Amino acid sequence: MRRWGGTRSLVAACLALLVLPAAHAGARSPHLAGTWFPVRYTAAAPSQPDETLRRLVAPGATLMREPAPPVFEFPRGEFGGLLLQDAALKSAQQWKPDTEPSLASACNPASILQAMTSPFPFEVHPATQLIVIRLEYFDLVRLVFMDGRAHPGPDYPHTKTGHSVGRWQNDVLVIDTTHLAPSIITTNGVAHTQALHVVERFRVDPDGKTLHYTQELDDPAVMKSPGARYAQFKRQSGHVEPYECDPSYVVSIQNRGGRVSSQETELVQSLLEQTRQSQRAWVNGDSASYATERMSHTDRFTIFGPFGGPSPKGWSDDIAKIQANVAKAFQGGTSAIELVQSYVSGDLAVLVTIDRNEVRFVGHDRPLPWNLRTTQVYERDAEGQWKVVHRHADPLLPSRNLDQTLQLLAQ
Amino acid sequence: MSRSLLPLFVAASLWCADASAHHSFAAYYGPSEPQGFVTLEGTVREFRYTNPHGILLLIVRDAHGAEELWTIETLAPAMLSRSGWSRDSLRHGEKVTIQGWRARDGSRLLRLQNVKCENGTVLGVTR
Repeated sequence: MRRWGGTRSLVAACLALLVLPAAHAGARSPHLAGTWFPVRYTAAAPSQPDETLRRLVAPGATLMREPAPPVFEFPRGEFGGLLLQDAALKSAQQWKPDTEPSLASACNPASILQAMTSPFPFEVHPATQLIVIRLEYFDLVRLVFMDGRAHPGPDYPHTKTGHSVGRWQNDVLVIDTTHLAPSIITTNGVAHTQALHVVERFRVDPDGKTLHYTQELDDPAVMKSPGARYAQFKRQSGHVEPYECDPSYVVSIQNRGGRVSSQETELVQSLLEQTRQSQRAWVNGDSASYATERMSHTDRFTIFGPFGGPSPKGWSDDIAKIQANVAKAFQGGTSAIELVQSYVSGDLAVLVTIDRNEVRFVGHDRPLPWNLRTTQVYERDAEGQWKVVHRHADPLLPSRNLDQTLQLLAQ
Repeated sequence: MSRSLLPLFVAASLWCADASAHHSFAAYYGPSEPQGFVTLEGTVREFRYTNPHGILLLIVRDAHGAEELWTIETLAPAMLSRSGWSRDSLRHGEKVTIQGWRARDGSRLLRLQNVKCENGTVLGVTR
């Protein structure tokens, strides 16, 4: 209840500011109002800091090099020229990308340092003594107090948006922010503490189309001297989209390399190998491994054999006898199985294969092709064994037209 | 506190820097073409259009005919939507051709650059 009371007080204060007579914000900000999209530079058109803003950056601040396109992020060990304290440098150099992302961090936004230079747009809504900056990045909303107030004391909460106060310096909006919760400076291991102090400057070109932006960051525990960063934005129609972070993507990243896939691949390879063994046995006249070991002896079993005719539903010993009789005609040869497609889902797996065999049949003096196109549906039984519940094997024939197919069906 | 004394306190203060959502693509994925840049042809198993990153699971057949599952990471859908993407851009079972940067750890993880859909549409990524 106390927290809600505090929130209500904050909301009331914000509303009061919104309805106060025009002061700083309203007088200068029309150019700034709107939706701003980041400009992404290219190798041919590199980042060019605005000269007006560059002159305002504190002497001695290191203007960070921008990461190279097309990735726009620093690789491991590259920090844009920031002069880091030894411990911070060591910590950043030891950072390993495989520690991220995690479910715990996936929806944890970075502070405004990253947020303002992220590849997402933001909206600026100037009111009277307040400017609201609404970012697409993680749905963050910044309140910039333009009423001349000072930053609060050290007990004020530290957040990813911090506490911001603004003022106009000619045509440049200067926002001073403290009370930022610890977060990242770069995406490759340089972090800031809650002592970070950020000064941002915004300047809109006279035509109102381009917004120039600098960020000056000072965190003495991390950097030997302040750093500075430049970005440019273009005014465009449109608005920020809802972000609504969903951390579930991390599960897929963590399972990369295909834990699920490798299980599936192992299963498919295992079933294929079983089928190859059975096929080799069958070519040599032995149907037992198919009939006895591989097939499901349940009511769910069905088989569409290569000879046509009735299609038994449900397993019976007669099926095994028929298969044994057929197999007697196979007097040896070669076999190979090509996997066309496989499907695995839960307790069900399907192999679609082309079986290419050369077989010496009883009554024939030379090997003959015995090529089939087959579909085998496997089901995992109560004992965890994968059994064939359906087999469909047709002779692999050359393509035929409709009339030829009709003739075949009429026989 | 002077800067010269500060390094003594850095180790104690840095620990509280929290892990942020964002991981560096550059640190995670292959450097550039052609080393880490690959082309995959496969079948869409799943496409999740979620922030901060979308995920495409792609079934790819290796040289021996065995199926491999590749995890393809995309930029945020909020950005993809401005490049012509939608939640329905990729369908389960659709045959696609993917280009992107492979993970530096050699796993079957890719950062998407573009995808050619079954109907011939090419969806790219602009930042």
